[in-house]
Amino acid sequence: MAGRMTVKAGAKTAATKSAAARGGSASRRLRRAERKIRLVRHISELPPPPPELVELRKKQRKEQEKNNPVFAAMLPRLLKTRRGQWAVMKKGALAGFYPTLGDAGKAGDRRYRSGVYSLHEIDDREIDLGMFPL
Amino acid sequence: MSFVKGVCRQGKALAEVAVGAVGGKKRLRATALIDTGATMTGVAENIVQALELQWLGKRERIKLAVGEAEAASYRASVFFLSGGGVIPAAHEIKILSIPARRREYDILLGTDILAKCCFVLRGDEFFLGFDGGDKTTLNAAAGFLSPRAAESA
Repeated sequence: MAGRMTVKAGAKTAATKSAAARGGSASRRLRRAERKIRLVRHISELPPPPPELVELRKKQRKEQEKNNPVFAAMLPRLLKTRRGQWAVMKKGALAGFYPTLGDAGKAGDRRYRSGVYSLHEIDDREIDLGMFPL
Repeated sequence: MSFVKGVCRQGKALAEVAVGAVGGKKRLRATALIDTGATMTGVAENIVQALELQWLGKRERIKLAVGEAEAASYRASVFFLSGGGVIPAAHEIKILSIPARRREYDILLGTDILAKCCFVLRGDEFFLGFDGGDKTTLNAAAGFLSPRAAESA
């Protein structure tokens, strides 16, 4: 019990010191962090998406729909050598392979300034939501 | 090591998270159910639509306790919110769009995100550890282990 209290007290002291060093309490730091990532507390407070974003998403969806059958045909071959990776595609052609979705997205954004490209996961694993009622 | 501490409500481990589009300016605060039985993270479809997330292609086939279903997948980023700040759970992740119903939670946190952290559940409390913290460190930080026990472990 004493050990447990020591750990908690130590953790609190460190947190307080850190907060003091940064000039604020933990809750104040959270509020600052919330502002930094522009946190919206409720879905009703979300402004409507800008028209240019809606337009971009439409174009991305069209591109994804166009590339999906091409990718599906290539998938069995790709699974043998690139399982778990992500592919970037444009106009029905593969543009590159990347280890994560983040890397693929960054590469796609760099290569296609318009943001219109598609991302595909090279995986055929089963998704299991367990007891969740869909 | 940074960690998120939470209290179970009616036996459910519910965490406060923020979800948004990758590179987007806005993140929406939401409650997430920590579900170790789900292999993928799901977000309520009304949130997916409101955040205008990027669609990631085909509808995924999903195995459920009773039968199978299909759901669309999207690209999103997820953060944990704790008293100490905002901790990125996944900067970029593929999530599923799940039906929005009246529940205590809008997000289902699956093992795709949970595998990136260390999760400890004890009694009504749970802890999620980040930044490479292992189970022993997390147990000690959560007060489940004395420092001496943590050192010898």
